[in-house]
Amino acid sequence: MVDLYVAQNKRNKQKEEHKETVSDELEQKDEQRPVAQVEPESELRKDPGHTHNPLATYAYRPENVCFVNQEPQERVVLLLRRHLVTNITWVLIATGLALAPLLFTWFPILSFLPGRFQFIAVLFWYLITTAFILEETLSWFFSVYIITEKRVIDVDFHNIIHREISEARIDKIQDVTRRVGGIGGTVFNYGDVQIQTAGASPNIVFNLVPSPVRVSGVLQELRTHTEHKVPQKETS
Amino acid sequence: MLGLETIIPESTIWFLVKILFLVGLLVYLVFAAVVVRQVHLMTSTLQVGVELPVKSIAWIHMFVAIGVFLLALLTL
Repeated sequence: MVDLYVAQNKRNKQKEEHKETVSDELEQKDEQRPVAQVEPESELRKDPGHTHNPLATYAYRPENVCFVNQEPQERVVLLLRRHLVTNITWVLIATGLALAPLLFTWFPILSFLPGRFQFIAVLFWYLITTAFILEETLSWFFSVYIITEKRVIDVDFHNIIHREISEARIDKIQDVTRRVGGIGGTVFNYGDVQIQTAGASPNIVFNLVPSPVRVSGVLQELRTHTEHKVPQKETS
Repeated sequence: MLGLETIIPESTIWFLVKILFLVGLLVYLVFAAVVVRQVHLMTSTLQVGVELPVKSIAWIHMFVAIGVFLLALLTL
């Protein structure tokens, strides 16, 4: 007669051993699965150009930045905008527009209109000024140049209704040229970075970005890193 | 201007001026709506964490434009 108690014990032991084996396999699989690289805050702060300012014109490895058609594991290395100084022209124009109604006290060109019409005219003038400021600010803020580990992307909002996005893969970059010119560019350290790509991909130009030397340095690092990665992929 | 008043009553002239103002403000309202639409497109293209303030500014701008239009409609 079978000793059921012993048989049950044996069965339980086998089950437990099976469970341990399964959990060991799962642990091994977890170790092999690539872990999302999360850089600690202290490491990020050491990188020059890392900032939490959402209005920054040069942001190295910015946090909380996402863009359209971003790939799942793709991270932003550099986020660039036109240098702040390049906005001086439209800021001066906007200031002039805002102060223009004060001239009406010395030059009453609207005196032929009744009071209520003059009031609405002044309101309309300020609405147009607001529209001008809004359009210029939005165009500057959302026209960005993005460098990721894989691609270079140029997001251009020419005006409020015209959007253009160009991109090129890092491994297709053939040449990077930086240009710093003019008094403003020399004093405030901004210029153009022209990226020539192979094949039919369009050339990308980063216009009036801060620290063009650092930008081209980052691009060179990424190109070098990509070149070293490609031979490893081919052998495996 | 004096000659025009003999042909067209003054009230009609100001009514026409009011219509011009309202048409101008209506065109501006359309622009404000386009701004709201484009801000939505811009924030969907690039997210940096300031989407809510930017969208709020666009909507406030639109409501102010509506307010000025209504003010012109009622006071002129």
